[in-house]
Amino acid sequence: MYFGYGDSPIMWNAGDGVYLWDENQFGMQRYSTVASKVLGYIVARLFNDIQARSDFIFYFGIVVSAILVFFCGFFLYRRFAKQSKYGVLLSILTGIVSSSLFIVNNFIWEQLIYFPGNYFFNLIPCIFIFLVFLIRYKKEIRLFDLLLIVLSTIFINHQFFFVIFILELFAFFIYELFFVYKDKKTRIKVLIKYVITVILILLISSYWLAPFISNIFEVSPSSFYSSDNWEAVFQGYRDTSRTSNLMNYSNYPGNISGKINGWIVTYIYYALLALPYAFFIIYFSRLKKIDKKDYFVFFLIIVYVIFFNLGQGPNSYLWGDIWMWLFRTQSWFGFFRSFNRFFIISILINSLLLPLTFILLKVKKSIKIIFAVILLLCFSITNFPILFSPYLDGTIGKMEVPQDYFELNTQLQSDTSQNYYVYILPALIYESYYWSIEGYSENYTSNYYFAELFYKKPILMEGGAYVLSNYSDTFKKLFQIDLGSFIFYEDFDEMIDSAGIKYILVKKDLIDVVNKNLPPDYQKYENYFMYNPDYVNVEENENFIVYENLDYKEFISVKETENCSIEYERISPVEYPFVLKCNTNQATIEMLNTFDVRWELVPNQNTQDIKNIISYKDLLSENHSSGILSNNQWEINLADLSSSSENYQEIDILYDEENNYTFKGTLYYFPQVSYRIFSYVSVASLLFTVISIISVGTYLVIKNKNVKKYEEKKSE
Amino acid sequence: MSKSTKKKNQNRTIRYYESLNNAIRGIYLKPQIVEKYLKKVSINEANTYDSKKIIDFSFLKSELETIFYSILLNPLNIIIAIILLVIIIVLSPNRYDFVTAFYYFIGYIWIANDLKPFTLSIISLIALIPVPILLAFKIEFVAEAFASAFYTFLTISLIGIIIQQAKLALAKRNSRE
Repeated sequence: MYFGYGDSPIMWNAGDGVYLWDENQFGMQRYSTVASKVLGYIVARLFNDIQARSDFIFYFGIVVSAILVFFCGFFLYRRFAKQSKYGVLLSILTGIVSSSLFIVNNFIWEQLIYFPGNYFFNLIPCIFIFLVFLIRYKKEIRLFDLLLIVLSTIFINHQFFFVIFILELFAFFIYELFFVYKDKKTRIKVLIKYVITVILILLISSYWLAPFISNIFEVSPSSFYSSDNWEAVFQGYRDTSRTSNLMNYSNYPGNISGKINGWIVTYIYYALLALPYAFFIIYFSRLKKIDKKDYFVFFLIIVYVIFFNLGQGPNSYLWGDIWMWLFRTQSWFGFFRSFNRFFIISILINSLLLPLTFILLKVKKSIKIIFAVILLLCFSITNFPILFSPYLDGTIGKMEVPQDYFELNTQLQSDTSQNYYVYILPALIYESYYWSIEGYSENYTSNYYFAELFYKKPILMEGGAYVLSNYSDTFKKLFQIDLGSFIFYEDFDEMIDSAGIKYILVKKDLIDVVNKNLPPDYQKYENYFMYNPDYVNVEENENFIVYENLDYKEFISVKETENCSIEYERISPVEYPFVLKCNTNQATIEMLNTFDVRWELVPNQNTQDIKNIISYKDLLSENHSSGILSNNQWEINLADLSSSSENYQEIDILYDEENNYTFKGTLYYFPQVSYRIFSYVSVASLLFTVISIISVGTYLVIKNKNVKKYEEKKSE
Repeated sequence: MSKSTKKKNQNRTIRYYESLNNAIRGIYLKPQIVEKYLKKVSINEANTYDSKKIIDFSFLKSELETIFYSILLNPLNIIIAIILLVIIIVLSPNRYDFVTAFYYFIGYIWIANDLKPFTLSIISLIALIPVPILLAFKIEFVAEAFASAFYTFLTISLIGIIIQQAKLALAKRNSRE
């Protein structure tokens, strides 16, 4: 059972471990997916264990966000309205209005369609900050409250939302420091509390944050994508994130936005939603001096404006040009390509401002009721496609993967000591299968990344978002999106051999989502491999045909085949211990994956000891270079290594009387060390936070009881 | 640089600015008219919105008059704003160059002339009205201009409010010292 859809299928790869090197597509560093893999693993296990229904995870995400926003609305009424007989009822009503405005809109639903896994988990901490500040309104924010906020960050599994969260926390810090407290002593106390909070947040997130930050300034986020995809998606965001679109929450015009926009009622509804913002600005501009009681709302307005402009990215009239300059000149800034995600905080504030306008506006009740009815009507009409369509059936599909795939995987898994590539044909822009369509298929027939996440051996498969030809010039021809132009050129077989491809999977079950869900032509591939003596048909079923390549290059090999032999084992995508036997001084070890300077040759097989990996980091780094296939290779002088071993006992090399060298080493992807270290740091910090919450919470409960007792005694 | 020298330099800059402004103003305004306008502006500036109505149009009228007089009395601000407008149009790589530059132009004039944020926020509210109609008729480019006018003018108003509040806080602190 596998969950997933869209660009964040976090439920798929449960149990495979977390690695900074993704061995698919000849291997590439994948620092940015660490957090989503860890959370995905936990969630996938959980939902798998309880045999969750297909739409359960979807509703889980929505319900948690809706509940949190409901409580924000609930406390909003209690904090800002005069207490009345129907106070509780009105608080509940405010909560319902806020959560409905927040959840039922095209922006949220469209984000959910494309990034189902990421979206709602990340929203939890972002909404939780607002909730804490509304609950503690006019009271001191205690360390206990901040620790709870720290704990909520375990739900952040995406770097972008981490930035949103930190900005939000910073905004509340500024509010406390400059709006709430005036004296120096209290300000210092506030500062210390926030410093502790930020340190704990950084430590808890360090397992993904440390590798991510170490990499973002070295490798541009754009290098993951083909240049067309990178620019096209950016331009798409740029076109849809104009002010007129943002005010009607338009996100993906071809999706729900396209269906609900176009009729004047919907635009009137969005104009009405924008009114509270104008109302409060007009209200504040009329005042000579803003009172302390209005500080919180004033602060909300400022945060709204900041996030609204951040959500507009290059289209913002305030800093659009600066944004564009950063995007074009600073490669790390490419991380903000999907800039309209910032808009989520504006939507949250907007959904709180609207009921707040009703609470604070001093007009006749009848006018308020008429206004509310108009809004309700416009809301229902505008969101009709969301409220009364199959969208509510859920967008995260639970797929029953055909049994044939599991059988193939068992076969792939049986070669534990070996590594090789599985080449998948035909190649399409989006990977999608006829058996994966479930529920409402109009928008989400595509379950991208199935191949990458499912198979137990690395795969090679071109797709719209990949840039395989950029990784290796040699294999440029091998990877082409199948638009009917693929031809079996002269050295095709040679290429297959030298790329280390053992199996070729000709898929019969693919559908082309950009071509009316029609199946692509797989027959020409079948015809080619069927009559070619270099390949053997080892399996055939209704979903795929498997051909075995009889003469493929080993994943790890030695160039000097006459004088040397090598045996290796695949422990994980980042760790390959090997034994090299040579009767010559010079040996060249080749590894068939993309050259990355951070691959390291450890001169022994003791990788359990992190210190050992770190201490030999640079020993053979000078011998590491890019091979003919843009792959990793090490030219080793065994005689030198043998003499070095006299000084360094950890170098595992033997030289016998018959002039034979036996060298035991490990090929290790060094950045994985940082993940290993920081995962301990994260777990320790998380435990520390939990213990602190329990102890500080207990202390507060006892303290409150004592105060109550004291007051009771005093009154007696 | 000591505090007093800094203050002296600042005062000198303000004096230069004012004398230049007055010289330019003298080209097209007679001294009697200047005095008349200055009086009107100072009277209007002291006025605060105390009407019970959400929007009082008589107040708006006097506000718009103040804006007109303030702009007329400070030609140097307009010159600086035009220079800014040209620089942004020439240098900016953004495709909304002209509209962006126009908003900066309005924003600068508003803040530099100490104009009330209230009037600008009301103007922005008026800019919102045509947006749904234009969008419904698919006149997206013009709708975009109005929608952005709504948000940008409100943002400028907000910046104006923040400056106003900061000035008040500073004045309070200075009076305490």
